[in-house]
Amino acid sequence: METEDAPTHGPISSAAIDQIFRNARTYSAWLPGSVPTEVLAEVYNLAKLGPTSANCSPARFVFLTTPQAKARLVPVLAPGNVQKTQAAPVNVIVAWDSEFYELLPRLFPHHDMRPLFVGKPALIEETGLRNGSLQGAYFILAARLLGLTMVLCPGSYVRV
Amino acid sequence: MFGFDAAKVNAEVFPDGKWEAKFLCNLGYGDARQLLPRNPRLNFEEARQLL
Repeated sequence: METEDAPTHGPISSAAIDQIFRNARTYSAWLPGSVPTEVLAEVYNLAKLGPTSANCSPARFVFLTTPQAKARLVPVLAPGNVQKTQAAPVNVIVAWDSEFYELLPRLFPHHDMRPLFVGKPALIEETGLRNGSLQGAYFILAARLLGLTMVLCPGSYVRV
Repeated sequence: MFGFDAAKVNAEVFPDGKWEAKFLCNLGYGDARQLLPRNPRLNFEEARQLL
């Protein structure tokens, strides 16, 4: 039926595109003030809707918001990154769950995908890294949608 | 070390080994008065093949 095939939505507003891409930047300084937990949850609740293969959703997010929590990162950071990381209102560790496939029966209930992964570490790692990285990108864009600035810690994507 | 030491993060924050850190981000409300110029990007012709 023609009416059902018609697009239901067009491009979002130019102002929104400016905020998410054209004017979105890597900031080196922060305005004072904290980010409420409710806002962090809102960012996640948008980011979780982005696509992953078989809805496997391997990304996990650790939010460090207090001086005590952020201090735990100091020994793991390259010296040049310590000050800028400690100055940020929130540090986020984007991680992935190496046992993400155990949740597939719940996340992808119409077909049992879990047996494809059990005992296959290379496939688990490739799937987890690819989809977890995608979810990290969704998270950055979701933060921008909500008016937040999300900055990759320099060099942190290099495996060491 | 460049950036951060993922093994140390995992030992510190994920001692049971189930979750693994992939990258770090900082989050907040950025101060636009202290922005540096944007770095160049690859243009479409450089970054694409049209098949």
